[in-house]
Amino acid sequence: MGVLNEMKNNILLFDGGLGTMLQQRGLPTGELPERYNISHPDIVRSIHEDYVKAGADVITANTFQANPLKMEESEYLSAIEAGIRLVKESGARYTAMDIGPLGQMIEPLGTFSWQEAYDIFKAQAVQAEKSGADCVIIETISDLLEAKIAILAVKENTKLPVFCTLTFQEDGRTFMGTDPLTAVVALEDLGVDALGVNCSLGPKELMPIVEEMLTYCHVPVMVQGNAGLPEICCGETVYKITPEEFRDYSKEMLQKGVRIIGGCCGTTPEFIAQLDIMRKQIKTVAVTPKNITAITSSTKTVVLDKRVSVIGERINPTGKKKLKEALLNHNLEYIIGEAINQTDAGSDILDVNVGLPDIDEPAMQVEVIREIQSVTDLPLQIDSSDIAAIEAGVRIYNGKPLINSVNGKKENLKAVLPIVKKYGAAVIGLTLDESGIPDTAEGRFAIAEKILAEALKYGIRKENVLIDCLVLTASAQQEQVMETLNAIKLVKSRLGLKTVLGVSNISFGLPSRNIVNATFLAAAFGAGLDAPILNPLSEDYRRVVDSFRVLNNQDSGARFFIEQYHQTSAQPTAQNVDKTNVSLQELILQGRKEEAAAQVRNLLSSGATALSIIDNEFVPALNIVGERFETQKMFLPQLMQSAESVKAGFKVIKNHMEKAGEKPEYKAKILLATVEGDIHDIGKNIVAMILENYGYEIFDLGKDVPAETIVQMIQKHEIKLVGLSALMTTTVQNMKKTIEMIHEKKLDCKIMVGGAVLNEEYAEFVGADFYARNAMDSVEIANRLFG
Amino acid sequence: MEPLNLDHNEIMRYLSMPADSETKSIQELIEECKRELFNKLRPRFVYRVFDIEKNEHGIVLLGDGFILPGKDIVNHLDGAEKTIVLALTLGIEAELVIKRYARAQLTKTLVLEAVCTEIIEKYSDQVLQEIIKKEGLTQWIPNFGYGVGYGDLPLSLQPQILSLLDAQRKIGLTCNANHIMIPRKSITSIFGLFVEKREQADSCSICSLKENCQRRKDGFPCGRFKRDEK
Repeated sequence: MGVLNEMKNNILLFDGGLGTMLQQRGLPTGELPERYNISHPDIVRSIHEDYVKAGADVITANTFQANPLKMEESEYLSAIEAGIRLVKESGARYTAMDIGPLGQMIEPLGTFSWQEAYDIFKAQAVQAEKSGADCVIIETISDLLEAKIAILAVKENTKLPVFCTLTFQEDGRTFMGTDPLTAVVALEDLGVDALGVNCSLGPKELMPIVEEMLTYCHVPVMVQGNAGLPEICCGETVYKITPEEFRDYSKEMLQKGVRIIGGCCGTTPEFIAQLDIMRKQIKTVAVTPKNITAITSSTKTVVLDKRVSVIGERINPTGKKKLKEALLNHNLEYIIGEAINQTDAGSDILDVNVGLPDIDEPAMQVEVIREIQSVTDLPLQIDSSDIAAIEAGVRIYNGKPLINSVNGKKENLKAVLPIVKKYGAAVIGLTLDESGIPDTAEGRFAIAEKILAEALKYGIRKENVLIDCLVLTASAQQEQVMETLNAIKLVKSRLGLKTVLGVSNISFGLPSRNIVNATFLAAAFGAGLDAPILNPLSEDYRRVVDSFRVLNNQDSGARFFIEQYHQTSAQPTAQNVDKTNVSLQELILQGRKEEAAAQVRNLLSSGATALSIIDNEFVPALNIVGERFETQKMFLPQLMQSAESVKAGFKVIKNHMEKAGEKPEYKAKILLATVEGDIHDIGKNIVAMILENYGYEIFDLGKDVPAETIVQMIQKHEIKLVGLSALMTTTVQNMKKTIEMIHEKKLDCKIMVGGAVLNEEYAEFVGADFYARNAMDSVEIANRLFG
Repeated sequence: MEPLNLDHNEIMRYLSMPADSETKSIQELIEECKRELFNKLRPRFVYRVFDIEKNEHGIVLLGDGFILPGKDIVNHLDGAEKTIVLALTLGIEAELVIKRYARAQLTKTLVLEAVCTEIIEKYSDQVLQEIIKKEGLTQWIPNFGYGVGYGDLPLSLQPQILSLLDAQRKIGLTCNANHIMIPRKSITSIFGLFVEKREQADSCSICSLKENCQRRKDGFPCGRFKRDEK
């Protein structure tokens, strides 16, 4: 009988702590326990035997850190092989391959790549299956993304059942900030066979976390707690609860619906023996998890059943010239700005669409999602008509995404639904098919019904299907507006699905679009709309959403509404900011950026040209700033405030020129990057801003940038000056490597370097043309080169 | 986290500004950053206390056999009764707060970095006192926290120090292939515990950045050393 079958009707008992047992039998601290599989097999086997005798069904192999980051390449696979063999020799009924965290932070917060992590987990799992493991347990995970990668690697490369447990701290979150609900929603539909918690805390402290998981989790819940809260004594960790106490807490958990139990740090065969006696006396308890429609980031879950949710639409290049340009130039700053603005404006979910004819959409989708996920905690809606781009995005996404979209066409259902299923995502179904968009509400409902039926066939849970009944413009198809609203009512009442709607199209071709949009949004809410896709920066929309949340009892006590609106009229308006008497130059020198931007607007509207503002205001002000900085009358933060003011002014000028159909002119192109392996980028960002102030077009590739990418971008954009940054002595080597590659390719471009550890000698050592002590130096270098 | 009493002059130093500068906007920004950071950070630490022994390679951490190599660490711990090895992190939240502003509000980012550095310093002081009390080590006096990468103690030791403390599992602190700790706002330090207060060596003399260091040229070297001397 397989372990999964056994689980169906029985409580499954895992073993307890291994590390402490090994130490008791002589493993020196500092020695990697997995080496004992080869050097001291008898000790490892005998510990397993003790757990078998204690009554454990599943014995975990001594392979937690058997990976190529902790051991030699040649050594770790043998350690896995031996580890699994030793369990089998111990007489265990089931053998679990143990996979622990890699100890590396995955990008974008760390520098370890998604693919590197995947490859390691894959190699571990494949070896485990080859060696005869019955299942894999992925445990002590803090990083939701790492759990997802490991689960995918095991599922895609082996047939082994997968158990996965995360480790939570006393504040109820993992080190990376994931809460239990988010963990469940993000991982349960990924194909795991059990989900739960282990380590960090004792069973008492784990209880609320376990209860939260049981409330929502559709797969069996597993718990392997420590023998109490770890206490530090003489700098060593000790655990203080008794096997009997551990048993009693565990019993409570089983009675609440936990199905798999065992122990972690500090638990011994005695603990497991107690659990075995106890579990034989109680029956399994069936749980009825709540069915909710929810999507997550790594730290936040948006539950659509709770209240109407706003999906921000601004990261979509359709009709947005600036975003198009930003995508083509890898200008992530603009895109990130849109993400932050929409987050601040109160969005619940952000739509991300990067589809353009001339770009590699899957690669761009990956890049943009990663960057956005590192600046906002909102869940994302991955939006594309390119199936490969959808899958690429969903695959690397940290959390459970919403896919936008699938439609009623047979081919499309066949292409998109397997991705939804495999990655445990939610999906928006558009009510159109081979014959187009039906004219009637009933027609659209029929497609929604078909989409749901197909999704269910793939094993997608009903709650993960949302429907978009599609908006047609009121100016062209006026009679269709009510059909959309009626379709929403049908989908809600007959199918019980959540609905999504892109509302802004309704007013296309009409004057005062905002009035039409707001009225339509209110009507759609009335029809039962759950999640409008709209521009969250629009005040009209915000008012409708905020007031509707009061009316439908979602903003309890109208608390949020009152806080936001009780003194709207007293807030300063843009106009009185504009009426400043201080000169633009002075505003720049004082670093008052909002006012500087307003002053630029004033000058432009009173007829000043862009060029005259740059030449007569920006440049002289910047020169004064530069001089004061050199003579230490002004310091870096003040220099930066001035630079930020000029930047704000430039933004106004650029917008103004675009409206007039003019293109901004740049002195030259400069590429900037922090080299591979290094994640410090503030210095480089300062240099970028100041060079931009001086009229250079900046291609900022960000941090941790491989040499190959830098070379490609130099070639693509015909760059003549590159600025490279490194903060650490260890990454100066990568700077050298990058410059060597630029030289090998015989690219006609100069290289300047900077960063905390750099100096003249280092600059020479790495082969740079110039050394820039600070941002002002880089301006001087650029001016000399291009002046 | 509980707000700490931060030293304003130190923050100004990290910003390379004279302590008496009265730029209002910067002062306001510092206060704003403090509030935001105290509100969001979840700092954590892990430590071990060792008896030590000197040998020809460096300092041996007894009970573990781990060797801290080099002359400078020997000088740092020479005559110490015990040593505390400490790792501390402001957590992923510090990373996220800074990243949130890194592109759009650079001055604020710079100030956040400076305030984080001072929080680490003060948190480290607080934690050290806690440890000394908890472990019953109050009869001794600690010297300053010696960082991995100072002097001839190689930065490449960082991963081993982290595994010595099981820092990844216990506080979520990792180290990449280039020995950069992630979350970035983290430190590892080695303290000696002495019977009497020690004369502090000139910390700059062992620093590999001394030739470059603007702070040293300006006459106020690293905050940590400076404060110890006071």
